Amino acid sequence: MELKRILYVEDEPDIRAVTELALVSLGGFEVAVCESGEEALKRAVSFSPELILLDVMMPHLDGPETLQALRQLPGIAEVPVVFMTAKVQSSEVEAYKDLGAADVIAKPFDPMTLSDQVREIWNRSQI
Amino acid sequence: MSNGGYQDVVAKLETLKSQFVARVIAELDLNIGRLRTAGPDEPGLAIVRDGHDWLHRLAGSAGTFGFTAFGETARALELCLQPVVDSERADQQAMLAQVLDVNFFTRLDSLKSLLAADAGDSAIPVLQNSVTATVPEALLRVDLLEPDPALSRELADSLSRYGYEVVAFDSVPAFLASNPSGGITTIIANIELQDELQPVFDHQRQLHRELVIYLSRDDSFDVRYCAAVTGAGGFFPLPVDVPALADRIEQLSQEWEESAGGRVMVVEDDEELAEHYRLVLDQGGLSVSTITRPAEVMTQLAEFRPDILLMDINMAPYSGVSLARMVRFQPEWLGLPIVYLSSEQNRDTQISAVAQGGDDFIEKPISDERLVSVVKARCVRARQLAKLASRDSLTGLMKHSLIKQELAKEYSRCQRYSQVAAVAMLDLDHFKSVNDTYGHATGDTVIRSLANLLRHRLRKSDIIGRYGGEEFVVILPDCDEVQAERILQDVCDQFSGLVFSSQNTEFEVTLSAGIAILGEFGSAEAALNAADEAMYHRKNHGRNGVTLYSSMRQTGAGEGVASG
Repeated sequence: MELKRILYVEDEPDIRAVTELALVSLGGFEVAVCESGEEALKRAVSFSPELILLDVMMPHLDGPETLQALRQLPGIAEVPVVFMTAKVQSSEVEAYKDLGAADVIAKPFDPMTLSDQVREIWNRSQI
Repeated sequence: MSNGGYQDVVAKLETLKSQFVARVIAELDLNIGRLRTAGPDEPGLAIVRDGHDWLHRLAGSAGTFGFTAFGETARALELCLQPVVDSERADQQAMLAQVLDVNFFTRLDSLKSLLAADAGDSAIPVLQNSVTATVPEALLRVDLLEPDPALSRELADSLSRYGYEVVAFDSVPAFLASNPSGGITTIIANIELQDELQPVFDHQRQLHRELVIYLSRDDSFDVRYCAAVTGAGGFFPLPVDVPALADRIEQLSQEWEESAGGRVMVVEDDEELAEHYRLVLDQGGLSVSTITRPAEVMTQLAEFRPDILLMDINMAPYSGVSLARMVRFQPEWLGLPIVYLSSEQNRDTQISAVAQGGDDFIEKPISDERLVSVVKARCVRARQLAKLASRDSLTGLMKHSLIKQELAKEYSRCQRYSQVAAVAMLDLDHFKSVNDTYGHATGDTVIRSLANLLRHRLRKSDIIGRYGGEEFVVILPDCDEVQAERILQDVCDQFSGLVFSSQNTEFEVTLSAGIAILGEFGSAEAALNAADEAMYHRKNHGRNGVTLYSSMRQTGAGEGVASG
């Protein structure tokens, strides 16, 4: 199976736009773009994503909180979640993985290779 | 994806990038202004917390849009504020004053210029130079402190022909009143102002003794010695030999650039120690990449391309010594200085470690200051060595072989991304007669002057090489015929305005240039030959100017051969 549907959550408009462009135009994915954790919770079930990309630092519901809330939704518990964060100390990466994240993508990222990176993470999570 | 689709994405990325810049510009002033008002109280803490979050977001996003240095500085500033945000409530207010020092605000202010400077240096390969396509780099600033108005005017005028932005002052107070805080500057001062000028360096962090050049009517041993005692970077008797002065300014600023910064990669399996080294070296102004898993060393080397590699020696189950050997398996890292950092005190073990592929040994524990100074010194040395190997010793420009490699790279970049780039061949007119009449030393001065002028007049992204004796090659990425012709005509005009003197005679030298567009030829070599042909066409048609290969073809080429 190939990765198609990604739910993407990011509060910062610039990064949201560049990531959407990278995932849709370069990666060919179908992407549900959400501006907040709350929006992601509303849309997750009906969109039924195969992978979720979550920014860590967001106001109100942050990445880890959104992840925990998403896990409660029907059919979403098993979907691999990838965090995107500007904090890339290995201790923090491990902490995110302990929360159940499949992987962590460091910011800043290269928009030209982001889709490859996402696809690679997804392939690994399928083994 | 089709090429059209790719180009479409590139265009959209451009738009997003400019939106990002617009937003950041708006935020910068606002946030810097707020941080400046933060006092050691509860509202001050709130401002610092917001400022920390803002810097964190910038650090995360800037690199994606290609503003690497900007993002790295934002990250460093974020880390400065981190201790305040993390600490217990009782300590926070006390820490504020410590953290928000002059150094912090200087770096914070530098974000603005980094945003402008970085615009040409994008991580997105196809976005390169999009913003600075035809705008020349900011000129190198020179502050001139000379009480004699006539002399001051004359010097300012001649130096500005070399591409320096000269700001003249008639006294030290006038200079200080100008609030000289905008980046690094070379100071040229009359030696009479020496006593007044020296105390200034103790208070102004951004002014540096070694970037001062003194001018003096008295050229005695005593006066020269006094200037040397102050730590000045140069001394010139009046009347000034302007080309030599310009050359000295150039050398000083290059030495300064080499000594600033440096890239260090640290391999240390203890995460906390690795983070500590990273912080210390980063505060010391170095770019640092730390890895805690030795298995990542090769990929990270290729990605980060450090000036030196700093490595712990015992990283069970790995040994730093074997890792160094492994790094040396790869020919491209044969010249990389590898320094072991270890608590090993046995001299024999140290020597054997060095013999097996390392270059030196630093004993732990080491004070933070010493670590920074040792690492910086090694970086400078490594850079100088790398430069010696690839740079022409007279001009500091790329050597023949390197410029050809760069041209090949640029050619394939153009092919891949359908970009436009120009290559130009430049040659001094009648240079043989300059050498014959005035001697080779004067000839060398002329060559260096052109090299310096090219460095200042061209953009940072342009690539300049000395191709042969008096021949230069310039590669202008993202530049069409019209732009390239304008830029090089400007260089021609500036250069022909320089006045050289030797044996009490003054003379001027001109140059001829030929330009070809890379994409119009089947290979980089063919484009270079075309530029060469156009240059000779110019030599046959009056010299002192620029000829485009394309227009030369239209008017008919190849009439006779000119010399020099």
